[in-house]
Amino acid sequence: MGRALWLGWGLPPKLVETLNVVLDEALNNIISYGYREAANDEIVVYLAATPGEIVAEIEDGVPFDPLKVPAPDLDAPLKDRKVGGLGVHCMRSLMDYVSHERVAGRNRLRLTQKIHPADIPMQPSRATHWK
Amino acid sequence: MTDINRDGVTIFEPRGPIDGTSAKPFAERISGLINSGTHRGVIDFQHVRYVSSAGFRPLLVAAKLIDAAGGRLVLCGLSPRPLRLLEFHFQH
Repeated sequence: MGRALWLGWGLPPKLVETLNVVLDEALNNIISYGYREAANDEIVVYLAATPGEIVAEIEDGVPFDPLKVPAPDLDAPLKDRKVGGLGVHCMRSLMDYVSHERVAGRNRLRLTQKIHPADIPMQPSRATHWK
Repeated sequence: MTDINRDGVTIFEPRGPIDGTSAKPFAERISGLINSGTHRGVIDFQHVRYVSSAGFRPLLVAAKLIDAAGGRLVLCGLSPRPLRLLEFHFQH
């Protein structure tokens, strides 16, 4: 989703790959567990970059905190492994900070990746959003 | 998605990215193969460039079912990107 935009911002391809994986996981989690089409819910994605960090914020309406999904036990033998929780594990492991809060009756999932200023050539804060 | 049966081993070749959108038919195909008696299978990922956790979930289910049936599931052809994600999701 954000690939072309992030590449356009001049982010390194490897970082863009990581951000894309995390955004895919976050949105899929919301769509699979939180989103209700019948409720005419709207998912809004904000992407922003500053010289120090990349932030993706995802807002939607149906109360759902993906951070409450139990973490998978990756050390368990195959037969004991529970199915599920991989997407959240992915988000938490690949990003520096992941937070969730309810603001004005909507979920706000915030994913933050710290970056070295040299990794983002453009200077002032930029943001964009999709609905 | 194509599958070939050779010497009692089913070789399954999914194509394209396996993400939240395409994971359902992928899962249905795998569970269909297992339900029809396939307990020796190879999934060849040479035509797959991306697998998200939605795609790894059916793989975990399949591996558990095949393991319980005393069979064997082998994955091959993973390009570096899906392989990295696979290793990340399955440390065993």
